[in-house]
Amino acid sequence: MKSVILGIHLREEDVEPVTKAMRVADLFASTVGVDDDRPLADRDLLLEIAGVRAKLLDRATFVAVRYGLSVRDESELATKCGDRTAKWRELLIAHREEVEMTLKAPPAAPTARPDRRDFESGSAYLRALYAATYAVDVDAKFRARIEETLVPRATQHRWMRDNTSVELAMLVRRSDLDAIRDAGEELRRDFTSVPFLLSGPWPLEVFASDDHQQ
Amino acid sequence: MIISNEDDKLRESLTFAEPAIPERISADPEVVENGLAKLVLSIIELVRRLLERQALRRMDAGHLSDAEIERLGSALMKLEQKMEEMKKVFGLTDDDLNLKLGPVKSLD
Repeated sequence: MKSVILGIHLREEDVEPVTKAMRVADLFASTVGVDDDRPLADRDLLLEIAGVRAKLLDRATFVAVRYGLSVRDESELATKCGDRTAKWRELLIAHREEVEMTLKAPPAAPTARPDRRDFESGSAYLRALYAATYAVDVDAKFRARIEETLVPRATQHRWMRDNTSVELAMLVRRSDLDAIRDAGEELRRDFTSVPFLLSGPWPLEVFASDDHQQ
Repeated sequence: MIISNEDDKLRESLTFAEPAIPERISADPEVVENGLAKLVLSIIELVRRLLERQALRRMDAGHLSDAEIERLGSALMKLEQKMEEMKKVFGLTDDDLNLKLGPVKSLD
């Protein structure tokens, strides 16, 4: 039997009795036991884990762990994650009353992807890819409305882009979720021509990642 | 909470009904190799895109030195070149390897 790690939590009671907690330094990992011969991609298992994650987030905000990490016991968990617990603790204390929300929309006008054959150095190619990717933006009026109604509700926000979508990740107070929902409904009503998806609440993920700088 | 103004597209994208991953692999020896190649290359392409996205996010966050940008850029160029060679060998196009990854987007 292995234990799949779902997230990292500040307190044991944030995890139990929803699911089993495993100690890592002075924090607690939420875990789901999985038979060794059961594949982690099993559909029923994924649905079960999604349900557990939702229940855990109802109790308290946690740092999401990318799906697939599994351990045998606490010592293996400490070996794999022990060096990150100080940062996680800091995040969990700072954002205990907050959750993530994301809004995804396609770019108004996708930019042309650079052709690698036009470049002699890796640096020039990656910089051109970066420029092309970060030049994309959503419909200007749609973005202005988001900046006016959603962004002010966020304690932190971050725009992320790739060639096919623009994504706004927001850290919001739980007490502001109803207002975020209302703003989302207004967007749906007023921007029928811009397909978008506003989803959440989610545990800390974008704002707990290594490439996020506050 | 899920709010979308494109419910049909959202439902379609959430089904993961993806032609790049066939429901069954044909046992016909003449087509089995191509079917498996399509599946494997789709997954490699997915990983390549994830690596590229991660590199761009690290650049955006200012976490990469000039030397790292050069190294990552060269690696991505070589990976892209290798994918083009393999697609050619198996007669596959970009559309053949286009996995849908979730709401409002596909791999391409």
